[in-house]
Amino acid sequence: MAGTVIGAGITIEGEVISDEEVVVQGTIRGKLQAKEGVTVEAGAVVEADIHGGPMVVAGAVTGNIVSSDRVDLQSGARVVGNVKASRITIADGAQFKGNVDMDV
Amino acid sequence: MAQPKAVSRSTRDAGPATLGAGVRIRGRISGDGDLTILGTVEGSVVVRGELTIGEGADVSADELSATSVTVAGKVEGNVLATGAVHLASSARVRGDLKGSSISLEEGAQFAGRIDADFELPPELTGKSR
Repeated sequence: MAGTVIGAGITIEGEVISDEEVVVQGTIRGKLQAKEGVTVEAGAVVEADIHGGPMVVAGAVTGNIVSSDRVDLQSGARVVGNVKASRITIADGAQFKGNVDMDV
Repeated sequence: MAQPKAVSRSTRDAGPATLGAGVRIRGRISGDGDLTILGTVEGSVVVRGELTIGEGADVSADELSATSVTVAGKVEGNVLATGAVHLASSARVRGDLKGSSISLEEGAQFAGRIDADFELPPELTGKSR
């Protein structure tokens, strides 16, 4: 089954619900809900709450992130919003403003 | 020696985009670049590039607009292309088709109007001045 790639030139305004992995290189405004992993690549812009499995963020996210597994904010990421996950890494060079909830 | 030449903006921005079979989108999809839809989309799709609606896809849109459109899945809504529109044999389309050329494969199901921009040969236009 082909995965989902939201390419660099593409903008989605609305609700994205996925049973499979999602890679975002473009722009999403609205809501992103995935059962599997979500990758927000460098250059991507997500203005949405994100729910999903393991997440890797290297782009810009404005919105709350809720992961059933882990969240990795990589260098170059820019996140404004709250992050809820049992495991979180924030790399050197990642920008982050918000609360972290590790469910302790 | 190949030099990384300044790629034109439209080419560089035109990343590949695929909306997989397990994806449902409600809203507006727009942008530059080719787009393949294999999942479910409700809303509108406007891209500058090639739009492919794969087999198994279910799209109901107010507007489906692209440079060229290939449909192998189910579409409800009007399809507007500046280039070609092609309905593959597995396509089920309800809506109007507009494009510079329109082709339907045998087996494609289609209900709607076809509006193809082609020039009629002069003998059919009843002679113009």
